[in-house]
Amino acid sequence: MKLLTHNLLSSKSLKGVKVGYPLRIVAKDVKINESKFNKEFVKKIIPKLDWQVFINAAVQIGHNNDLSDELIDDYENNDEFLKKVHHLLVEIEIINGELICPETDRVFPISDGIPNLLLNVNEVP
Amino acid sequence: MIINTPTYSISDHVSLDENNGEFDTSPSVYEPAEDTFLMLDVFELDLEQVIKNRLSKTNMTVGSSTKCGPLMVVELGSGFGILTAAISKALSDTLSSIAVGAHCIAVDMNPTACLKTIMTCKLNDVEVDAVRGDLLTWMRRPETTNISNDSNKEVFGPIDILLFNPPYVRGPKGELAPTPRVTKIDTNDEAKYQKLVAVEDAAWLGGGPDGVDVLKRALHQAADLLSEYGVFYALMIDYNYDALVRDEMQARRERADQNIYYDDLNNIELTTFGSSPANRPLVCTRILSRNIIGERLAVYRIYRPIDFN
Repeated sequence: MKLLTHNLLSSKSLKGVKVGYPLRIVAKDVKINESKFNKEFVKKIIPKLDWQVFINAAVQIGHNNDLSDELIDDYENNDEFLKKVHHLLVEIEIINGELICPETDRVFPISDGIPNLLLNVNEVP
Repeated sequence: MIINTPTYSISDHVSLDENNGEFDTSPSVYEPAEDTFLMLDVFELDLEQVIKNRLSKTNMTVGSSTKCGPLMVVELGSGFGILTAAISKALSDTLSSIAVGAHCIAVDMNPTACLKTIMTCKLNDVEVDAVRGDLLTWMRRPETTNISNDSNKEVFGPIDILLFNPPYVRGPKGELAPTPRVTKIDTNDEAKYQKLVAVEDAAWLGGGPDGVDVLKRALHQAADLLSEYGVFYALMIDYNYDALVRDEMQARRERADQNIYYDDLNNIELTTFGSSPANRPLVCTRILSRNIIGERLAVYRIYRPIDFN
């Protein structure tokens, strides 16, 4: 699972949870897959992200390399910055670990790179 | 040719390089069949113009390039992951001149299907993130997040292209959809059929009395999670669609809506899905239908009409 996907995950469907976002990450096993830098893609995906959630997630898995939790101005022309974002967003893969609901501490396991967000019948409102 | 059929393997073993081992996958993942290929044919017919005429309206890249921005693609009940692999491959290949790429997420309740999807995407050299989950219940809601450029606009979801080949067969007793899928079985073989129906994980025929219950849940979620110009491609059998139309007409009658007779039967407005259905109705348009071994299957595109004001 990549951080780009993590940016979309929530535990809102759990009974009693109001926001359920973002899920805290505990990464046990992280892999780096080099992939081709697609500048246009990164530039246009940034406005679609919850930036602070993305930066916090990078910190939680121990991979934040000096990006600030305030999005810089004029990032569209800053190749060095965009390459760092590319690396964090799509090259880092969490293989094994846990996602944790911010309100209930319910743990969602990640194994073989796949987060398991299925709920039990008694956890649904 | 815009959409090439992806390579896939129906071997019972899934091998992932990070595991040095294999997973026995038999016999629990629905194999690609006629319905899968009907969906691929629909992408061939419809996807290019949807990207050009709809999705590029919010995703247009500023500056020199006029390509459509990154597309968020989500497939529900991905099984082998053929649909995700096909779209992802097309966007990085035959459609790369009109779009800058996609982020694909494939969802299935069945962990083996998640692995199969990852394997199929690897075989086709495309990226996917698999999520084990129930439809879109795991996705963040638009109103709970801080997205920089959404401040004074109506809030839409993140999904640009949603794909679903749902469990469309009527449950013999109106079964609800429980857990993972089994492989396709021969409904003429009565003994085998009864035995397999007894297996509680036959999610593919768990669509309720009209076969449409799971799709209706997905429509409720999609209405809130599609992007402004996003599209939802869904496959239905004839009686699924009949049930949707019937429910829609009943809802209109209950609220004394006079507009009961004006829809074109291949192009109906759906006013009952999502958290604010009346303000933001969806339109369901038939793209392609085909007779397949006694079944009348069709793929529909469900979307919000573009407001030309």
